[in-house]
Amino acid sequence: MVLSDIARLYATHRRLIWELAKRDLRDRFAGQFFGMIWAVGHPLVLMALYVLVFVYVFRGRSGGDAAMPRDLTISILSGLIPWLTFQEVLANSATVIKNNASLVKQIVFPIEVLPVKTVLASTVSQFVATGFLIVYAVAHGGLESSLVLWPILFGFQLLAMAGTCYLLSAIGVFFRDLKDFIQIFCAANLFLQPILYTPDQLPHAFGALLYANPFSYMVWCYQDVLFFGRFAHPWAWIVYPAGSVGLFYLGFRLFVKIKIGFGDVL
Amino acid sequence: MGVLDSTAVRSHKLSKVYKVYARPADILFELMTGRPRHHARWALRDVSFQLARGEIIGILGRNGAGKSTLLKILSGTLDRSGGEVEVNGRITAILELGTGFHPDYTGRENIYMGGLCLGMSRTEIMHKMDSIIEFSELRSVIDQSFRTYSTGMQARLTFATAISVEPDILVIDEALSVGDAKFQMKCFGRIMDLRRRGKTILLVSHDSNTITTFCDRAIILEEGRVYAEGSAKEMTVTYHNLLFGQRDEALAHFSSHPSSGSDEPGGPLRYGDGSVTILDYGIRDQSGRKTVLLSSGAHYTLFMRARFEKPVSGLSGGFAIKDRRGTVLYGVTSLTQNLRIPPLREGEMLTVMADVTMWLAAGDYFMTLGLANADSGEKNDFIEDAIHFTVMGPAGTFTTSVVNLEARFTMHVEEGTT
Repeated sequence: MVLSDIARLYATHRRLIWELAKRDLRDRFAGQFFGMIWAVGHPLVLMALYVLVFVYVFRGRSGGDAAMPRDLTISILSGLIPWLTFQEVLANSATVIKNNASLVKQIVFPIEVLPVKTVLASTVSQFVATGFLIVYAVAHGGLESSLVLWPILFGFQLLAMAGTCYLLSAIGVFFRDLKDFIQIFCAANLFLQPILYTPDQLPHAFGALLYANPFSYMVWCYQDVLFFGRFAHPWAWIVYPAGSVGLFYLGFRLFVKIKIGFGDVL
Repeated sequence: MGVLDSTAVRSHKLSKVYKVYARPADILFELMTGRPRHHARWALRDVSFQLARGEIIGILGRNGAGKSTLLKILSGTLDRSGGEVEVNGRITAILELGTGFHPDYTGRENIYMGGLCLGMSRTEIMHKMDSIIEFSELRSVIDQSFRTYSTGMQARLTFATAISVEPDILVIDEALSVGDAKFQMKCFGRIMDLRRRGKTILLVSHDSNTITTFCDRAIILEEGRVYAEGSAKEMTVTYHNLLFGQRDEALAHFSSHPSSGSDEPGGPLRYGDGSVTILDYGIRDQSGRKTVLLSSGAHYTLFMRARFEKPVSGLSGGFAIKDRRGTVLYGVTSLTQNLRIPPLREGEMLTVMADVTMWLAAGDYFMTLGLANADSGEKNDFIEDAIHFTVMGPAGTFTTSVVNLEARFTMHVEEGTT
């Protein structure tokens, strides 16, 4: 199956994907008093909290020197926001198939749409948080024109997340422990990316670990766009897009290959 | 695979073996080490059959016989272990009713989502929305939350949605028993309509009544193999023999210990004063054989044979037939028939018989029988729900029919006078 076939699959089922994503989101807050307000309120409050911590609690490290001329909080948030979304996808991916067993067993249901709807439903908070960051950036030292590249980065992020979700959801059907491994990985991975610090602020061996982590390249790209305003990490602009497309293709292929076995285990 | 190809489904030596793992992680272990960590369970073995376009075929089999596995393989949600399957045309299935249905959404929203899940496009659903609502008879509550519906209403809506798709091959799994008689009639009509338009239908059931009503042909699956294949009517008989082959043993066991059935939960309830012991009872067909599988419209003899433990007079013997809910549908005694049983001495045997014509429609029934004092009603020996018997209905009637009125259709057309 080539990429154009995959695109056609999504196009055919765009309504279904859209409805499923909407439901996924609604189901998260179903029966709650504030309902869908949470979808917006949750990331907003979270962002406000981060700003409070970085600006007021870690006041001494908030940039303003020669190496980091601008507010370091912008740098931190620009890397943190995509990672939070990615983390949400990771957390849900292992159980996507199992939680939708009734749909998977349904004859005509195209299960390839399930990882996609999970990814889409997770992006709402990223839009809200990014909006918050843009407002914050305007208030603290202006916005870089490189922001126009954000949609492209986001597009590759969607591909990477979908690929990851395909990969992990397929494995998660057979290997139920996967979700626990993912949880631990997520907790550790926050510190293995150049979000809260840069590699040169770290001991040499640990800094190298940041370069080995594929997630770092996504973070660098977002930092270039939202914080540096230039291609400060040129390598990242090659590794991240290529890696995203590769991951998506790999994940999708594996998913399609082993989905026929899902029925045996569910 | 042209349009002219008359075969809709072809299955050749289809087999499915389930690898049963103690833990899901064993699968991974086996993949990595290559050492088997499972034991095999054959769900299907060498199943071969053909399904012509426009045919309605029934698949009979008890739970675990492999029906669902077969359907899943045909529809492509499950991989086969061996053999070949060929499916010509768009297949859809009503396997699990209510896929995509959610209690928090309104009926209308659920039709939309359910339709998408069944592979319909947005325009297709919008186009059919009205007819689905009409079919479900839920127009007045369609914009209320699905959770406020009664179970029957929910079933009607999900069924109405499911049956609105236009497949070439439709698989229906135990789904036809939803709704009241009127709704069933509409479903019947819809299925006949699909059939007229040359659609192929696979109807799966463990209930032979559904099969005789709808199907031309039937296949019986037993322990993963094709046990028998033939006309729907023949197959229901074969299927019952398959089922009741075991029940007869159970019955024989019971008759050899006539007093052991007394207070056993689930078994027949028996009471009496011990003056009379019913030794044998049952239903005989016209050739004199005991049977629990009856054909609607045929003649049978209900009988019981009793031994007198002491002299008894003023006795009356009778039979009553109840449905599954315990409603007495028919009852008759020697007293109501003005037949006096003479006084009998100790050791004498009495046989009471009633010739009947089975005018009940298809279904499961229970027969209660016993001997009691004609005046006081005091029971001498009484067996509640002594026999569970099944009536096979006449073909071409509603599955909800209660009695057999033996309809014979005629018609004539008159010239208009204008």
